[in-house]
This record gives sequence, C-alpha cells and structure tokens, in this order.
Amino acid sequence: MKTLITGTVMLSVIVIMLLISWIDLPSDPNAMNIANRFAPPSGEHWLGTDQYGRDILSRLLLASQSALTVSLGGVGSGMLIGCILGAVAGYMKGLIGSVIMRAMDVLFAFPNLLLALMLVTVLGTGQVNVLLAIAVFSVPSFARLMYGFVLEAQSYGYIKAARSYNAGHAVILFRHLIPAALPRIGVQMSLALGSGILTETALSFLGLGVQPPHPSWGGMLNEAQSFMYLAPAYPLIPGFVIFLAVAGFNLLGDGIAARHKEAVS
Amino acid sequence: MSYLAQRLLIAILLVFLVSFASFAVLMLLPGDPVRLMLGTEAPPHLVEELRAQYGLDRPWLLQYADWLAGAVSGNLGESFIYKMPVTQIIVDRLPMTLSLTIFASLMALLIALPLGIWAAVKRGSWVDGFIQAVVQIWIAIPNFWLGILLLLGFTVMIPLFPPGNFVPISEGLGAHLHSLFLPALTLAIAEAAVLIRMFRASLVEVLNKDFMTFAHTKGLPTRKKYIRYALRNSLIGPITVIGLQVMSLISGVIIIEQIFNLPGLGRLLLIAVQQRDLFLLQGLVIFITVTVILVNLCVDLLYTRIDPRIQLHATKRRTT
Repeated sequence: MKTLITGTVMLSVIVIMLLISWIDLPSDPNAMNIANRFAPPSGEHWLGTDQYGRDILSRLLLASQSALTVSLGGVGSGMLIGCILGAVAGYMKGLIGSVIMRAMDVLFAFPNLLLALMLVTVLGTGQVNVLLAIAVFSVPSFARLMYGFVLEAQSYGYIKAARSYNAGHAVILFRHLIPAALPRIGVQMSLALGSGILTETALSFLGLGVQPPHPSWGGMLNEAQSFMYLAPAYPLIPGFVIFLAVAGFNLLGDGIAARHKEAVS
Repeated sequence: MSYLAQRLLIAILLVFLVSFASFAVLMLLPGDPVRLMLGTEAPPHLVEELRAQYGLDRPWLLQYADWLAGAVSGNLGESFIYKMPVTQIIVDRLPMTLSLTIFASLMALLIALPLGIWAAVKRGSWVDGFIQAVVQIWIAIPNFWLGILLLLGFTVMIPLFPPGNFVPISEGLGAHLHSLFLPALTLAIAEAAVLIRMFRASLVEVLNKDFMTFAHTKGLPTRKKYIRYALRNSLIGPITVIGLQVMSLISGVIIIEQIFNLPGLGRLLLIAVQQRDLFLLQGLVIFITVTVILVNLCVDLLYTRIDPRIQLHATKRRTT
C-alpha cells in the first residue's frame, strides 16, 4: 500500500509538470541571456539558469512533454503488438507459435540500449525514432507475458466452458483471455514505462534523442555534466526529475502487483 | 540428443539469426556510408569505386554471405573510420571494458550478498523493511545521473580520484583499479540493487521450507544451518538471471564509459553509431550478442550441475 501511494505521489509531480507545460510556462524556455548564465535560484528563475542564461524550470517543464509522450507511445505500441503476438503464439501453438516466440528470443538477445542505438542509427535521431526503438524492445517482454498467461489459462474452467459451447477463437481470445490478463499487463506496462523513460533520457543524454535547442531531461543532464565544475548544482536538477519519473512508474508497478496478489489470494 | 548438444544447437542457431537480423537492419541505413566518408562533394566515379572496393554495390544477401563466411573465421570486415580490421579494434579495446565489468560485478556482489542475506535472515523485521524500501528507491536511480554525482562528489568536492585519466593494467594493478574505481562503483551500485532483491527472495523461499524447520528443531548450530543448508539451496535462483544481469551491465557500460571518458567498447559503439561505421557497428553488435548468448548457455549448463533435477526434467519432457 505504501509503495502504491509513494509511486502515485511521485508520478503526480511529473503529471503536474506536464499539465503546467501545456497551460503556460513561467518564461520562454529558449530565451538566452548570456549575462545571466548560471544564475542561482531567484524569484524570476525559481531553479536558476543554465549555460546560456535560459530558465531551467521552464526547460524542465517543456521537456516533460517529449519524455512522457515518447515513452508512453513507445511502450503502448510495444504492449499492443507484444500482447497480440504472445496471445496468438500461445493460442495457436504449433509452427506459428514457435516461429513467433523464436523471433522474440532473437529480440531478447539484444541489450535494450544496444537495440535502441542500432535503430536510431538506421532511422536517424529524433523523437519518433526513439519512440519506435522503445516500442521494438518492449514487444518481447509483453509477448512472453501473454504467451505464458494464455498457456496457463487453457486449463481454466471458463475457457474450457467457452470451448465446449463452441465459442470462436476470436471470442475466446479477445473476450476471455485478454481481459483476464489485464492486471498483469498493467503491472508490466508500469515497469516498462520506467525503463522507457530511462531509455528516452539515456538516448537524449547521448545526443541521439530530442535535438537541441529543444529541451530534454537527458540533454539537460548532458549539458550539466560539461559545466559541472562551474555549476555543481545544475546536474542535481534534471537527474532528480528523471529519477522521480522512473521511481514513480516502478513503485506504481510494484504496488499494483502487490495489491493484485492480495486480491487474488 | 543430450541436453548439452540441444542447448549448444539452440545457441548457434540464435547467433546466426541475430547476426542476420542485425545485418538486415543495418543494411537499411538511409545514409550512404561512402558518401559520409567522402563528403557530399565527392565525384561520382570515386564514390562508385569505393563502393565497389567495400563490396557495397552488390545485393545485400550476397554481402551478408560474404560477411558470414569471414565472421566464421574471425574476420568481421574493415572499419571505415579506423581503416583497420574490426576484430583488431575490438580486441584492442576489450581489456578495459572487461576489467570494468569484472571489477563492477565483484563490487556488486560484495555489496549485495551481505545485505541480501541480512534482510532474509531478519525477514519481517524493521531491518528487512528498511533494506527493501531503500532498494526500491535505489533501483530507480539512473546510472548516468549516479555517475555524474559520484564524479562531482569524488573529483570536485572530495578529490580522491583524479578525473578522466585511465591507467591501463600494464602500468600496475593498483593504479589501474584506482582509475576504474568510480565507474565500477557506479555500475556496481545499480547492479547491487537488483541482486539484493534476488538474494533476499530466494533465501527467504528456502528458509521457509520444511527442511529448514527440521534443521532448526534438530538444534543445528546457526552457522551450519544457514551456510550448509540455506545458502547452498538458494543459489540457484540468482544464477538463472546472470544472463539478464550481463545485459544490463552492457547497457550500463555504454553510458558509463561515455561519462567517465574511458576508451572501451561502449565508447567505440557510440563512435560507430555517430560516424555510421557499418562494419564496426555490425561487428560490435555481433560481439555483444554472442557474449550474451554464450553467458546464457553457460548458465544453462551450470545449473544442471548445481541442480540435476533440471536435466532430468528436460530428458523426461523429450521422451513423452
């Protein structure tokens, strides 16, 4: 319960940041003022300014848009494709099933960041391509989850009952199997969003995601590293926001999993 | 077919499929590597000549066959930017990355084993609760942020480690480890969080088994009870995820080498990505995925040694 609450609180901070960025930013995130670089926090700039004298708070708020849309879009599409592939593989078994699951094994053999780097190399830098990369490496974990669930569920009474009154494959799959798997998918989705945010920020940290001057959390952290001897407090800020988002999704996932386990037993 | 042969065959097949998939993906590169090398102003005949020299003008399936034939004998092609055999470049950079990962793994074990055991033995107490809560938060700290924080803390505020000078192992082990200490610590802290959870979970499972209650009622000394019975039986769980740990270490190394400016495989990979060095990138991808697959194979074989029931199970499944 504590986990769930902590996770929700952390995520609310991030969601509020996103909402504010949609409504109104405190000041222009790209307005430069070299005379006022690395200014300490003040009434005008709550979190101070960066190496070009830009308002750090406004940049953080604006960057929440790309971080959240890219990871949500990536994980969401990976989830859809993965669940369908896994469900079909588990349901059909046979040749189709093993071809799908072997393909997932191949994808699983690539470390996440390596796969993302390869795809970004091929597709070029930018938000949409980072989204695609996150989608691709999210697919196998959802496929495996769904595959395992469908195999397990074949022995459930209500699935056998549905079979016995001659329900069609599509009905069994979409009306009975997929809804029953929703809690597990939700947990996996929350955890995957955590790693989605990590990948998005890691890629923009390496200069392969959102391109400057548009702000990104990873990009800001990278800039902060180059100037950390001049402004040692700057790296703390974007890093903490990334941590908040990742920890929020992780805790939410763990929390839902614990609640679900309690409810079932 | 024995269990060993079966696993080996699957591993080889997987290596083949992975190499094919990555080659196919990289061949779809929209940017022409030759154009990138010569610049957009280069005369067309020169571009054609170079394309022919690297064999880039032929159908990609044929190129893959050539590459595969070379790869089997250890020749991964030639890098565009370094003008050297890819295998040579990888071999040159490997020792640093290997040192870093081994050093980090040892450190992670050193942190995780005592904490995991402590939490499991005191399960349900405030110590356990505290360790678990800390791990839950700790696991979410991005390694690139942690690296920067450590760099900031231990090179600027408390200057224990001079920044950015890597000392190769040939100049003394002590100096070598000293220069790798901060990056290894960054990787280790991230790994340790996962390991603590795993050690705790698998040890708790064993401690709740009947034979542990029996050992307790028999009045066995605590040390014997925990080490001879509990620890040995709880090792198998964590071993199965070593493969996943190696993968996350590799992802970590790519970023950590960048932050600490270390000349290893991770930096090389980023250079290959930025410069679109096709053969170098393909070579690195293959090298990394083969490592991952080999580690998983070793894990499979290792745990049939520790737990013979797994092999029995595999045999039974085949005969039915």
